[in-house]
Amino acid sequence: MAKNNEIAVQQHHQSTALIERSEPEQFTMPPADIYETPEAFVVMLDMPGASKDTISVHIARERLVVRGPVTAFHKENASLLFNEIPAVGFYRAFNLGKGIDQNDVDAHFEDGVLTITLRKKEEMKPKEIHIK
Amino acid sequence: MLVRVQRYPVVGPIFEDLFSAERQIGSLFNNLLGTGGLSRAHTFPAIDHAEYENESILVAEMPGVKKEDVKISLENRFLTISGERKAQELPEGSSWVRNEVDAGEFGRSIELSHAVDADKITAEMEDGILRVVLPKPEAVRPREIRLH
Repeated sequence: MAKNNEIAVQQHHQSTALIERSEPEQFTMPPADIYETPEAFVVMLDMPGASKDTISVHIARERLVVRGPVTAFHKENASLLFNEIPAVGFYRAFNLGKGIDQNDVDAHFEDGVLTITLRKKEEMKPKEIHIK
Repeated sequence: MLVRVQRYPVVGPIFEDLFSAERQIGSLFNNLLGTGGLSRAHTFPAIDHAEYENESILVAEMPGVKKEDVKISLENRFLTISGERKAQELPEGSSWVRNEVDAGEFGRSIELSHAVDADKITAEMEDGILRVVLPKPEAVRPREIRLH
């Protein structure tokens, strides 16, 4: 994956208050695809029009919070013939539950899709048990 | 033509959305008060089309679509955008926790409200947004008429 698409994941260990207080007034919820591999969970969110410079990914106390502000597409004097795209940013939050290693999360943004990889704690990974 | 492949979400015990049933009711009321989560268009791609003096600009949301999988054509005054959003392939040994994103072929046509100088149309894709600039021919641009 191209290095310049990567987004820094901000970890907060003490409290979720910081990220909870700042739910935006207006937002849309990006649809999510989430799949589980033996080692990790991969979250993909559709956030067209957001940019890697303004997207923020916060993780705190088993909670994942994603924000993606968007900039206006049109000049003020535009007369809009179709207007289906809400001019508000993206916001979505998930409870992760236990089992995610919060220090081993990475994110990247490509073609309007934010992909976050959350690796499992060692004890959550499946283990094969050999029968003697 | 609009073909969509609908896949159904499977909700697992983890990745509980903070917008659970209870919160959805809350945000619904918030919506009525003008705040909270807005719903997004269900047509793919969702578009904005803005007209200016000398051109119009079409913006289409195309997350997860590669530039090479999009076709734009103009016939008379009908602008057609078609293409395919490839489905996310599940790596071996993986399973879905949630699957809310649609994939498949899409296509949309809109009738333009003005004549277009077809040779000067430009289109670009960035961050999942397609932007098409449709210049008006010189002849139809507004101009001031001076009184003699």
